Amino acid sequence: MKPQLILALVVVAIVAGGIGYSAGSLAAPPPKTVTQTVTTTVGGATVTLTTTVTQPPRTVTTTVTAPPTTVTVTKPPEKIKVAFVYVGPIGDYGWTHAHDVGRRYIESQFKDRVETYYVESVEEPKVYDVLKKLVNEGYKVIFTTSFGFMDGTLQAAKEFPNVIFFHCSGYERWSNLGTYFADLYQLYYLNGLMAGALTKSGKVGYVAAHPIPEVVRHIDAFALGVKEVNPKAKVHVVWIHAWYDPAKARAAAESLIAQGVDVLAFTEDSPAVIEVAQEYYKRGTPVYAFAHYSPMLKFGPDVVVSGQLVRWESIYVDIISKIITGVYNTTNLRNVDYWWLLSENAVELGGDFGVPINPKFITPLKNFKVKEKISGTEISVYDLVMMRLKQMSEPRPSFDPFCAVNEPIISQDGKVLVRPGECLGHEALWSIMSFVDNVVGSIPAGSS
Amino acid sequence: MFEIRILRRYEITNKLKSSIYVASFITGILIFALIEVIYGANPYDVMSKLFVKPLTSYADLQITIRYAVPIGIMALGLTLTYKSGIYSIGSEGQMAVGAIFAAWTAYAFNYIEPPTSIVIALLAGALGGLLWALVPGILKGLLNVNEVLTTLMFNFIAYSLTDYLIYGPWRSPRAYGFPLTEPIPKSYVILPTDGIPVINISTFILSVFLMYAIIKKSVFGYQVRAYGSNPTAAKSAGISFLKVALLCLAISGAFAGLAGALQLTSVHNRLGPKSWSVTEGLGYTAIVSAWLARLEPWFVLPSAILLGALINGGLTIKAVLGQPEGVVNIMNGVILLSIIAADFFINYRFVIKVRE
Repeated sequence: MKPQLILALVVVAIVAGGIGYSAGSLAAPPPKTVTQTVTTTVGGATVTLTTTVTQPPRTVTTTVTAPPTTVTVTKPPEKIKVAFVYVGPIGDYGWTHAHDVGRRYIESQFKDRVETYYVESVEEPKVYDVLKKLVNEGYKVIFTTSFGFMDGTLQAAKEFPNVIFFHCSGYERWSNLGTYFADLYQLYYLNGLMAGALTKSGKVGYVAAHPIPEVVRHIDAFALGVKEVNPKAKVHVVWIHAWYDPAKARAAAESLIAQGVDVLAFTEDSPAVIEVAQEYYKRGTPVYAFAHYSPMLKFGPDVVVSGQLVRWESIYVDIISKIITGVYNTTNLRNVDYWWLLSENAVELGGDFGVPINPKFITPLKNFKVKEKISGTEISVYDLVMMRLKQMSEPRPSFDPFCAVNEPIISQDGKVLVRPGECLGHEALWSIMSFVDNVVGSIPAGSS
Repeated sequence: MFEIRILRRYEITNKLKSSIYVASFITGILIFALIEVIYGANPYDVMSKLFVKPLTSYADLQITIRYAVPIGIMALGLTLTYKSGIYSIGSEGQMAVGAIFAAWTAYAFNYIEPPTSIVIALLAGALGGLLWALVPGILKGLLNVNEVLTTLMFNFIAYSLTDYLIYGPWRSPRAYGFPLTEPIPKSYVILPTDGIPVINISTFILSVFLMYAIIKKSVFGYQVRAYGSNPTAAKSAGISFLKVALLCLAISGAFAGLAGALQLTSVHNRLGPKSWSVTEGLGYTAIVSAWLARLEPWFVLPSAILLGALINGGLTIKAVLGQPEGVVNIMNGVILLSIIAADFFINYRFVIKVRE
């Protein structure tokens, strides 16, 4: 009997404490209707619930003193609830962070029309359950930002036909499910031009995440850039089989440097490779690197030449404004597939926004002269990069690295990948699984 | 003056035992509510969304069931091995191989029609899990190799086997080079009947009965319990250790494989890389479920549902309440720890004396 009594006492004490506290915090808000408006606005504003609990009494008083009718008439019914589902934490140094920059941008651009919310670190097989909960909470537009979310998003799209879904990096579409992607291959090509000019050993390294078309495409574009200015140089690839693994990326970079590589590019969501390059530079071995996805110049001010940056916000602004104006609705997304590049301003060249090339490297790049492959005139690599950047940024790009001009693009095993005068289109690039001929290394397992 | 004494309890009624469990569970919830209050959230709101909503909203309950079923089925298998004193942690890998076998069946016999096709896929899954568990079983039974190591290592081999298949021979030509297999044929997909996953739930309940019969009603179950309580006595009574080790691991492997086949046919419908895959780490959660159930088949029902509810609650915390991952971990920790703490109150009692 005794232990039961004690347990009961403990339980009662905790219950009483809980009730007492929450009664105190709940007693304050006056009429019911006012509390509701407050909770919806705060709840959607992506902030933690801290604000919901501590603020109601105060916010309520302000809303009451301000004319409440005007507020209700102008906005509430039209605000679209937009949710973002992320695979990683927003504090990572790459993918999820870049998407969250986009989310915050649309939140500020469409203040009166949308309210945004995000769910971070969602395990990929559990995405369908998360989407179900978000739909239940009244979200009308949901972005899912990882390839592994594809099947779950499609399932949710079929089940909730009144909600607009957008999935990043996948290929499954539905009447209310569109896809979008900002690809970096043009930037990798531009980085490749610079890498080819800067390597002294003729060996350029690439630390690669997973053997999937996206990464293969980037390696190929990079290698084509290297080849264009330095036909003898080779690109050495090491796979780390992870999107985020600073330890493995570091080890891979070090092993590449040990093989004689002196310029590094990578696909991995941490600045580990740049940190390695910066350490070698400090020790007197100059190794240069290209930033990936986020502004990483500050991690290697002496070694970051340039890099690839993404502006998801340009895609998000386009999608949201088309949803607001009614261009996109829940019935017409089956063919909506964004494949945005330089000309749409979805990506930017540089190790930091506004710094396309680290000033430190401008002189060596200006001193390195090559023959431009189309016109045959002599040109510095710096001018070549700027010219190609301009050509690819035009509304109808007049240059693409995967277009073969005078010579064919040959794959590693000697097959012709692109015949002169032809280009690889979106479909072909989207599923490319072979290396070009100046890449050293192989694509693991089963891929043809 | 008060004097509190903690005394060992030698007998306990089932009623008291279960009320201690319930009380400790409620205490855990209350402590978590208190933490939410400190965190700055409205505890009523949090508690109603976490623990009332899943009971009132069917859509929310479904999520709990979707996790509870595979966890429960694997926990049942583990119950048997743990009873024999063999500590297998290989459910995760056995589940993965079960899914591979079920997927192979689905691709190879795509012409078979629903009722039969699903039975075949589930049986194939069970067979896959069984075979995968057999190797550690043989090593344990013949050479007395530590099963904790072998079963754990076999999980990683199973992941690699999946990787080999999805990057290699089974890679879908229509997945744009992504490491995914083709979706399994429609005839192999288990669809809920009127929104209720009948097949999953009934498989789980049948498994509970089956495991109860094995442990409590069969001679083999008796031998297993004998090994668990006193291996030396069991050995001298002529019970073959090889048989116990082999069968225990094989049966638990079959249960895990069955869970893997169910996950493939009813949730994921194709194989993908580890992080997107059918196992979702549930094979490890099942270990917790088995021990929470005190290795009693009946108790696996509530323990699996509890763990399913915790996963569901974790998603609610992130997706509905907008709180960070850390809060999810706190919830899991506080509630599970409270339930484990119940052991103390079951084994000991407090005596309060008033001294003059």
